[in-house]
Amino acid sequence: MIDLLSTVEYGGCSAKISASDLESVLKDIPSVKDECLLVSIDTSDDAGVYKLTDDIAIIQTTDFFPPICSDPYEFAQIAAANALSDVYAMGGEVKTALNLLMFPKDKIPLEGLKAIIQGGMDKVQEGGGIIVGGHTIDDYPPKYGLAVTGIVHPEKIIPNSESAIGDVLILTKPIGTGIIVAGQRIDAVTKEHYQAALNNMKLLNMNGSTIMQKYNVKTATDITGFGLLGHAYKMALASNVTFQLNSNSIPLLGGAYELLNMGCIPSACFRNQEYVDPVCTFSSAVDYNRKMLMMDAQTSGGLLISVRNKVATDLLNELKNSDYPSAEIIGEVKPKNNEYIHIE
Amino acid sequence: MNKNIVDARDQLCPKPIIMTKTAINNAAPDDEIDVLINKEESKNNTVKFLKDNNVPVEWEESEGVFTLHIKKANTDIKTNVNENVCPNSGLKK
Repeated sequence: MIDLLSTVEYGGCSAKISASDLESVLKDIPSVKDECLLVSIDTSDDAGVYKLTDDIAIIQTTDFFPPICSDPYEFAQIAAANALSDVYAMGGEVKTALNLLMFPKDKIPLEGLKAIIQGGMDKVQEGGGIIVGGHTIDDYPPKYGLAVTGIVHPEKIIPNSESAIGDVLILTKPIGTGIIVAGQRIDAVTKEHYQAALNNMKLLNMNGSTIMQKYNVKTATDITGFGLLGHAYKMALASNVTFQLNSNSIPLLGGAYELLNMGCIPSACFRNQEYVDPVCTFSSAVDYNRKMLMMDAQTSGGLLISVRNKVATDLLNELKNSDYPSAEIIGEVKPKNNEYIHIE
Repeated sequence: MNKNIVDARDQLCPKPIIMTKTAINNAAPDDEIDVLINKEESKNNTVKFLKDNNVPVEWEESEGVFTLHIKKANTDIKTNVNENVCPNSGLKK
């Protein structure tokens, strides 16, 4: 049986280069200006958006990573859900995707390659798009992801930068995927908790995106490798506000807290901690385990939505009644203070 | 007073932290614990973990093996009440 998880020490979005290292490099590279470029890397956004006509802008994004689980089909489904997510976070719809695939043809049977391609194709189809080609390199360990093109009306883009004071913050999926996968690697997680984490990662953010658009949401992002706090920081920074989060309201995957309490803290938590340490404050009531959970690198995490207070409960209920029963209100948006995030 | 040796060499992350935490929680109040780690990232993570939980630690390196010297002392282990930039908070036993 093919076991992809045995090929890597860090899989999924935990394998990302740290946000601090990336920013130290990108700061010396001039940003590109173009009047049709509506959303660029300048606001650390989920995807680039380029206006084609008054009615259509294309959203472009890519994500790929090494295995997050053992089964090749399941790995590809997660990688594809994760790559598509940036389009949904921008309020767009997925149109086409290209496979980015690295596979060690002499080390793993070719049926693994076939399962990856099939898994990606099925998930993209579920997400409303089609795979139109790709590129495959002989490489070890395997890596898979997509380059995705979506579309959005130029006036309906949902960027990082318009979170408003008084808004409520909603998280659509529970966190803890990095910790659960680390726990699986050392055989410290139950089968039920592990499968629930995999299902959580395979779940598309498509319906969450559709629902948030009904409520005229102006700002959202998806939670991936930089953890809840890393991505929340990017949103607060781009919007020039302070997010006040309630640590006890943050939905957690089953088993994640207990693993953290054992000391099962993946390296990515520490990398993300280094990134957000200078920009956030914690009240003394926040225990160490919850603090580190908020740093946990998520693979195919949920949407963090900033929504007007008066419709927040309706939006939350609609999310809960669709694919996201764990969705919760996790905080609110305050005027910019000394820090970008304060956690109670 | 006892000196406990925790051999976390060649252990995948985050095993060294789990082994270290378990050893601290099982130690008597005046015990000393030495943790052996041979990956720098694991050493850095374990040191950060200990410092964030207010456990004093010193370390040295010899021929690629890091030895962390931990004194359990009376560091057993409370929630920090200070509020400032990402303070060290308490470790639940």
